Amino acid sequence: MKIPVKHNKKEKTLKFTHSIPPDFLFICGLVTVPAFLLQTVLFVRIFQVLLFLLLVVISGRKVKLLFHVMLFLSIALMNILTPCGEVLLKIGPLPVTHDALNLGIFKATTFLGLIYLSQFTISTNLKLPGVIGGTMGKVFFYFEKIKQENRACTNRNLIERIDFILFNVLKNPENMEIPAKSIEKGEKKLFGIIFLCFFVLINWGAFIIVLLYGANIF
Amino acid sequence: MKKTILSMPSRTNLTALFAAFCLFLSTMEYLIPKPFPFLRIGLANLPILISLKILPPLWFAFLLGLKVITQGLVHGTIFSYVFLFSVLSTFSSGFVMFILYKLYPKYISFTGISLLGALTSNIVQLFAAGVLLFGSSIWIIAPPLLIIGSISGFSLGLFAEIFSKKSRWLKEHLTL
Repeated sequence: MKIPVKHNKKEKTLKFTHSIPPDFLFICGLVTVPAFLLQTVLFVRIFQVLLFLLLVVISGRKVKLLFHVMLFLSIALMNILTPCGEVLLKIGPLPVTHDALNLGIFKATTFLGLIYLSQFTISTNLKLPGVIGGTMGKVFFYFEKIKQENRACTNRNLIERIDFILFNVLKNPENMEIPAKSIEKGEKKLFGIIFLCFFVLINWGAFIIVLLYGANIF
Repeated sequence: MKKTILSMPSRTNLTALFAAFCLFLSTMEYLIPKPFPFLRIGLANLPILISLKILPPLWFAFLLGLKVITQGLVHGTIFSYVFLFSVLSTFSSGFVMFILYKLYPKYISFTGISLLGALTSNIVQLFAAGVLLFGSSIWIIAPPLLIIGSISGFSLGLFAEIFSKKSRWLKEHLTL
């Protein structure tokens, strides 16, 4: 009798991202950046940021939401300190002006949008070509080894602790096997690729529509 | 002090090791919440300082590149301004530290090199953040950020100085 396996939420989110090849994800991110940066309508930009955030959450990556809200507010506030345009309200001696507020929100959404886009489209499984790619493989291998040796070391003297880690990590370097990061290639689902193409089209579509018909269409 | 000339594979392994160490320290630092994205303690600069004694110039530059790319990959920030700030600050401070170490090795210690590197990094990041994010108001918060950066740069340099004198690993790996 086949026992039905219940996938927990985390497993489902990981499956979604593993069906998309990391280099394809990277290219889609790269292609989407100009469409996002060139977007001039604030309403559309906010929509894009929320879309990217949703995708980051679905992909299972951690989001420091409170920290990002603080960042958003600090960027907006710093821009409000340079008043420009029509005064909307006054907070004590500080006039909050329309253009300064608009610019602050625009810059804050740009900053956050790029972070979320990066977090969704950049994977540590991404393999770069040539010497850089080969060396980066070693970097990640050593990174894992450093973490292991750090956990294994009980010496509280910081210098001796670092020495211990460095000596042990570099033991027998020529015999080292750099284990390749396992990528779930088995399920190169067409769905993932189609989804990404759709994702790119939405972003570029929004930019082209604004370009052709102006901001008033939204 | 025994000095050896490192072979190519050894240079690659050492550079990768230093980059991994930078990544490890930056991951530790990344866990600390910061009010501004470019406010860095600079723990990841410790391997950079140590590598000044070991790596030739091109490999040192390669290390700087590896540091920013691997951090960008791990933290998922490659397309963001955070990566841009990282590139600008790492290469500007790396350049300053390298020049100081090569030109004035007898007159300036790791403490001074680290302090000036940290100041360079902070000023470059403040400038970039002012242009891209915060506008001219950034200079209101510049003084406390520069003070914090100076303190952390000084502390890190002091530790690197002590490490360079006491570390057995470093003594074994010093090269031409």
